[in-house]
Amino acid sequence: MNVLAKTLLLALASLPLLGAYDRTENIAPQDYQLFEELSKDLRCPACQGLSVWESDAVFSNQIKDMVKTKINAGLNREEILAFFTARFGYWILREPPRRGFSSLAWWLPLALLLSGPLLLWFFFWRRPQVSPVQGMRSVEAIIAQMQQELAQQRTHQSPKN
Amino acid sequence: MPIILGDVGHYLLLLCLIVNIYGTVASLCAARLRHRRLYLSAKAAQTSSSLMVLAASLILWLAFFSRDYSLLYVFKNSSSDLPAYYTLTAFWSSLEGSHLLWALLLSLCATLALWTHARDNEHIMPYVSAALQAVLAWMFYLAVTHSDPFVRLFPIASNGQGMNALLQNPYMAIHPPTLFIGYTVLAVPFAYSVAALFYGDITAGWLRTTRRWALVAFCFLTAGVSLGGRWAYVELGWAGYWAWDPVENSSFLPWLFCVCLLHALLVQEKLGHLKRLSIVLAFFAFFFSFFGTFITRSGVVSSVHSFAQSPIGPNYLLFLAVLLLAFILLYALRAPAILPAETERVWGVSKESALLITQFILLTLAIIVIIGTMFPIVSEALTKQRISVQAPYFNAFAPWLGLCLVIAIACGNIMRYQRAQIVGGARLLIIAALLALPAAVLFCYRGKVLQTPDGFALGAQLVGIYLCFWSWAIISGDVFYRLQQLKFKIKIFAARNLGYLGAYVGHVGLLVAVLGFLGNYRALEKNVHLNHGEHTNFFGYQFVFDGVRARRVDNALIQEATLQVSRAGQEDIILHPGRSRYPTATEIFHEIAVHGGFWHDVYVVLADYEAEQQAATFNIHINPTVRIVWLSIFLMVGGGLIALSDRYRGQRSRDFLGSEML
Repeated sequence: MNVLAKTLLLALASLPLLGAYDRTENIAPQDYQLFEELSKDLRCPACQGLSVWESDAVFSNQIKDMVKTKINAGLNREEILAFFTARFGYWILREPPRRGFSSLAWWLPLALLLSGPLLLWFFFWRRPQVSPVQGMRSVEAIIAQMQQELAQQRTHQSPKN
Repeated sequence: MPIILGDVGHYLLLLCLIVNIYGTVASLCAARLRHRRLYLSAKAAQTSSSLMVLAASLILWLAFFSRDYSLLYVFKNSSSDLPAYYTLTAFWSSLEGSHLLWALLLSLCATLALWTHARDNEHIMPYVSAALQAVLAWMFYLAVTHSDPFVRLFPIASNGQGMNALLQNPYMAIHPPTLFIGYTVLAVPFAYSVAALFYGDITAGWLRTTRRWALVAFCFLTAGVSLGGRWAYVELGWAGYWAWDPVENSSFLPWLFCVCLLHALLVQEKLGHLKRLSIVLAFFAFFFSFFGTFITRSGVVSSVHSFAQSPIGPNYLLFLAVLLLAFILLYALRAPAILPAETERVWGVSKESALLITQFILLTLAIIVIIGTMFPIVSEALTKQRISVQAPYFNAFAPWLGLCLVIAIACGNIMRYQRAQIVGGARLLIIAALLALPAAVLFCYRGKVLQTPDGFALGAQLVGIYLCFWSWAIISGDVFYRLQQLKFKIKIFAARNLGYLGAYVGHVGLLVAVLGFLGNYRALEKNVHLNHGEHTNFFGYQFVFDGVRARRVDNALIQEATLQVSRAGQEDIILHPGRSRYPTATEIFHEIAVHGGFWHDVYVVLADYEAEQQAATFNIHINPTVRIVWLSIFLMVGGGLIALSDRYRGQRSRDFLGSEML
């Protein structure tokens, strides 16, 4: 049903899937790369997981037009992103901002990556060897024990013979 | 179809619920009293319940095939013009039906698990039965209350609303059942974990059975997740197969935990360690198969506020909370009973440490995926601030962890248990480093890697490609040393080492997959507007637009463009990207044309067509090494199947502490 929920959402997303968007229109060739980068940083408001660059939904095309307008007005990358976050909130960015509560999303994985080896060391490598207790025993241990018992039997029996 | 049959289906599900509740209680009592016949009645309950849910499912299929629009679910998800094979798959094209499919598969799987088990697992089977039937009882409760596929429609409609057109794709016929089988199979290791906790010990038979089910789950999950990616690739038209969206993430999480579980079971099999970790991993693999469904079905993904709109969400949340709390309680009370292994001289620089580090990497990836998927929800709930966490976030971490995994595969495989010694030593490392060089150079040359414009992307690819080949050479070297030990008697090797061989193939599969993923760094695209007869050049190809024709395929009307694609006289192919309409839907859908090659796919989307001007707009994508990713899936699943066919694994004699039932 995961799949289905996804397709339902996508079906909703594709509702306004009405047509082409000429990405090279109204943008100078030297600004095209900036336009592409910015469009890949902004989310498609109507889709799940896509950027406005990847989506042809009407809303996405409007945002792409806005990006072009801002680039042509001479704004730089940070100013354009600031414009969009001021207008739509941080929600419009495809990754969480690196300050405030959202910075947790960035720090937690890093903390985990750094502290993980320490935890492993603490729980496994640092620990002294476990003393033998009952539970699973290795084949080698069983065989060794059996051979020992056999040898004992032999030493008991051999004088009689 | 007689009008009564839909009600029969509903009552069958109700009966399943009652029977499974009985089965749960009876199993628990049988386990407590060690009463054999009571357990056998619980087993019979599960068997009959699976037959009844099968009957209920057949009734739903029958309703679909007889176009019985007196059922709301049939009305919403099919129409009279739907071709037969999509009528078959319309069963799981929406929430209620897919819930029923899941319940059906879980029930069949549970019955199979109760009838087939290792001989020395007899004493824990009541617990296994109780765990499986309790989960099933909850699923049937949902199927008769909030997710009922047999709801009536009145007045009866003359035609249905039609099946979601995005699902009318062959991959959607096999993707959901494959993934669901993977999820349901994970329930068996979970049930065995619960049983091991209740019983307080793990036996060799437990290990053998759990390993087998976990491997089956691995094969199905790998296939299921990748089929979903394949569907997105050929159906959605954004030229990719993985977008890190919550739905994909939630199908990826059980896979990660399952792979982690397999590695933990390996340590347990060889050394007896990591018993409790295996239990926890088996639980979480199962837990996250439901968790994913919860976050997607409850609507909590789009916004916290959509959570309460359907009773499904709170129900799932309650189930997951109870499941988690019950497991934590059981674990806290019973885990100390599972004694540590007596094996000495472990950890240190050795294979078991490498396996542990591998698990750490996999778990870290899983936790990052969980954080990324849950963060928008948590953020909105706590700070009222809505944020998005999408592909750029995951792509900031995933390549590094992938790199770690590639290195871990190489290092782990040449180590040996309990020994700080590397097979082959420095010689193997140097030979592999030298062998990888020409392979990587050839790959870069044929794959046109050096044409990547961006410096960082180019560097990442070069390092990644070289390391993949290096890792591949090293694990192949390990196979060589093992063969050498057996004096190249391949027959003996194959007879006794299928588990190892399966792991080799699976690991090669992952390395090949990484080689394929790296192609995303050099994907190209072009957006072009062409009049009839005009042409455009891109990536050495010439595309000539040769008009648009309309045609009818089954229930779809398709506008199909003809693009003649040629490449310096070498290839001459015709692509038909199109757009389709369905009489039951107002939207227009992409029909993507893909010309797949080993090194790259030519992927064309017809973005727009203006009939008056005879002009069309195309999005042309060059997607490198997508074919290699699909190839790697076959390797991974093949590796799982080879490992599964190993008859010797887990059959080594060990102390057996099981007690007979009365």
